[in-house]
Amino acid sequence: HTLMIITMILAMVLYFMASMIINELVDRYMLEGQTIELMWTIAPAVILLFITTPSLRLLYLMDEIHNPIMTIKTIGHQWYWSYEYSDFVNVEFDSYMTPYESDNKSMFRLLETDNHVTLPMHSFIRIIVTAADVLHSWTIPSLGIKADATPGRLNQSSFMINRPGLLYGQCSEICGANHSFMPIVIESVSTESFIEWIK
Amino acid sequence: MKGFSLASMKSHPSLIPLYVCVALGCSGAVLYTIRLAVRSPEVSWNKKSNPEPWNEYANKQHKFYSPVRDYSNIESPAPKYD
Repeated sequence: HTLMIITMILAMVLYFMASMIINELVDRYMLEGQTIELMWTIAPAVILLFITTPSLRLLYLMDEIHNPIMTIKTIGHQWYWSYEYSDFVNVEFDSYMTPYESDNKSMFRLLETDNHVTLPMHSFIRIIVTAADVLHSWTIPSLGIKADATPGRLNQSSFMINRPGLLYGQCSEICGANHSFMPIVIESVSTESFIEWIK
Repeated sequence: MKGFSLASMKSHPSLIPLYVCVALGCSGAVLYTIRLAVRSPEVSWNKKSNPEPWNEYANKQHKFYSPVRDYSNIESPAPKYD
């Protein structure tokens, strides 16, 4: 069915092309319309400039980091994430995926980890992502954040969480056999709970 | 074909915006590549005289457009390893 449509369209286009090439008649009013060509090149260019300027400004503004209250570092390994909170006390831990228990219906398959990244809500947080061995990518889709973890390079991103709860993400850059099995869980808590936890 | 040389452009003035846009695009690409080569904070042409090229941007602005903060007044918050 699809092939028939494709064949019909192709035959029609080939017929038009052939008739144009074979045709020796010339419409003497259609060629050499220099003024109109000039106009319909310059006018869209100007319109596009009007679209670009606020768009570029917004792009730069979106990237700004506004006074984060803390910085967390995340390092991608094969095949787990490790997190470091070095601002006040030195907290470091690894976060491995918990294997799925088929009789525990309250846990998500392939998304749960043993250690959650606990973070305070309503606070601007800067995250620095890197990797220890191969490329990984740290992402939390519900926060709209994704940053590639490249060995030898620090990538900075920032976010603010506005609600408490658990936010999930998965490694987004193929990194070997267990690439699908290194999830990320952010546990967003109130600032008091966070201070309790980090002690 | 007409329109490709400077003289025949007078008979095809509608090609001028095309040449302008293509020239702008090409020069933008070339100039940005040169900027990456000489001003990027990660490129070091001479490892002995410039082993850590990112230190040059501790007080300078690398971005094209920064409406939020003035980079000449603030120190980079990264730790120093001297």
